[in-house]
Amino acid sequence: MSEAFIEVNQLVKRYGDGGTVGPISLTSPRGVIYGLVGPNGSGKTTTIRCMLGLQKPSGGEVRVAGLDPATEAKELMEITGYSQELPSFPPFLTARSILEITGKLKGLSGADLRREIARVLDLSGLVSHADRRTGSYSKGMLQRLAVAQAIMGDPELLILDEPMLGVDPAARVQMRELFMELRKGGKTILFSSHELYELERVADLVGMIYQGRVMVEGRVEELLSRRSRGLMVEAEVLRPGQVSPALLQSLDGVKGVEMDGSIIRVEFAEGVDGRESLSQVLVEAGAGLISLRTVNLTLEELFMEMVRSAVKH
Amino acid sequence: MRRAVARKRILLLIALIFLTEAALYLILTLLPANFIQPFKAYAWIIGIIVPSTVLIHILALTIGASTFSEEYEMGTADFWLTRPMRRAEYFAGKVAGGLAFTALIVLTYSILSLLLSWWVFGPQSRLDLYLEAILTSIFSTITFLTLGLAAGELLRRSMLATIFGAAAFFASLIVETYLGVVGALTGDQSLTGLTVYLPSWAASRLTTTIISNGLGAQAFIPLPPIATQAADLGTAFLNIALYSTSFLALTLARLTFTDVTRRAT
Repeated sequence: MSEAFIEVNQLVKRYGDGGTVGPISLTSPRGVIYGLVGPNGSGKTTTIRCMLGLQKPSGGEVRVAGLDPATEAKELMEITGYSQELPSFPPFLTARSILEITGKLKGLSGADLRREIARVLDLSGLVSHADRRTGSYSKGMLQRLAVAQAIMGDPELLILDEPMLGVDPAARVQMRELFMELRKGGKTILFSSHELYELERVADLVGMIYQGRVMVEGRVEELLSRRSRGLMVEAEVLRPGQVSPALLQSLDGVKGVEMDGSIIRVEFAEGVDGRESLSQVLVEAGAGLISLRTVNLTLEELFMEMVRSAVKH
Repeated sequence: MRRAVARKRILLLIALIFLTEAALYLILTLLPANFIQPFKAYAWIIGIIVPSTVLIHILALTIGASTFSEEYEMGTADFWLTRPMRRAEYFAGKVAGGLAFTALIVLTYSILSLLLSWWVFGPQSRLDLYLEAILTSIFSTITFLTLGLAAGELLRRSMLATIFGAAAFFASLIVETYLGVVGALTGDQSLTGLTVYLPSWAASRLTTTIISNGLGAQAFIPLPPIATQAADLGTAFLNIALYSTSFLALTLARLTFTDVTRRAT
């Protein structure tokens, strides 16, 4: 992993009402997609706002591209595009005006500015709405505009707070492809999301925040390959009434059994591969085995594990 | 500026100013001819002085109160403050915008007053004072415009800031009147002297004083009671400059050194 591009070290934010976020620490190298996950109120937006200099940390340190956002926000924003959670734009301005303002402040003018506006309008699918006032935009269109203005001027870093919120499935796919394309071009993207499925598909690194702390951080594939549990096998049967949980529990190394209609999930202890014995039992019981597959750990499960473990402690 | 125009209370105040202008000249035409005769040639002055005593200050503080606070209320502060510019630049742009809008209103009603008075009473005199009167009117609005800006940035709620600003304005006027009346009744000059420290003192009478000084004893102008007492020009400019600088410093400090409030939901 190369040198840290985003570095949040023991960040603490105390609010006037007594609420505290942190200490949060996270690190991201340049040229990756970093996904920040966590339930509502866990501290994702606070962390992001501290990275942008919109809020000042009460403790700890934040460095983005070697800059201190609290004192060097202008320099930071010259290389950063930001899309806020539930984006708001001056309602009397059109998307084109908003992009023009952003482009001009990023040093673009004349033909370069017009070309850049055309490029981002095209990428965001807003060409036909460019001259409408944003006050009449739907939630999804505002979200697309938020991403469009964030990528104006081809910034080195994109910080996107819940960019998929309220976006329709087709636009989601486009957005995902756009993120991948930008990463290919060497850009760094940090985005927060509730959508663990989306995140799993695009993020290289993930940081899971819960109750104001980063509980898990690492490369997505490494986190998912960590066997914090044994093999999970899912079987689909025609006649689930023919098998009882007790029968399945009697198999060697079975840790848990879950039956949900025609779907049976069996978790084996670490190091035990009980797929053969399971299929044999199901066939012998006359359950009508249709399929048997190994279920991989998902970010969602990992997240839930983290939450359960946090609650226990 | 476009946002300010979009606000109903600002539109209402602008409408009130222009209605007052129209009503003033209508009333003047209904007065006996011998009463109007002495100041017919100076009728343009009334249309500039009357709004400059109270109405324009209420409008200025309402514009100021919504300038920063509405960005927080609508969640657009995040948009502006994540552009590559310093907070001081954002601050300067906002102050300039608020002042430009207020100046435009002053300019518009001043032009209207000249056109109406010319139309109703014929050719007007001493128009050499016209530009000075407009510039003074604009300058005098700065105290309450900046008070509005400070209240808006401190409270980050436009309605609350407008109420606070208006309360400060009227409290200042009431205290000023009280001190003036008690001072006159008791003959205690120190009480009248205290009024110069109030924010409304210079703002409400600077334009009148400038015009009166320019006219000398040439004309009898029926003035609103608040503006009848002349101001010492140096003290009046200092009063406006000190109050405005303090309010602007307060606004800039709040904007620079505190967190950007997330949209109120």
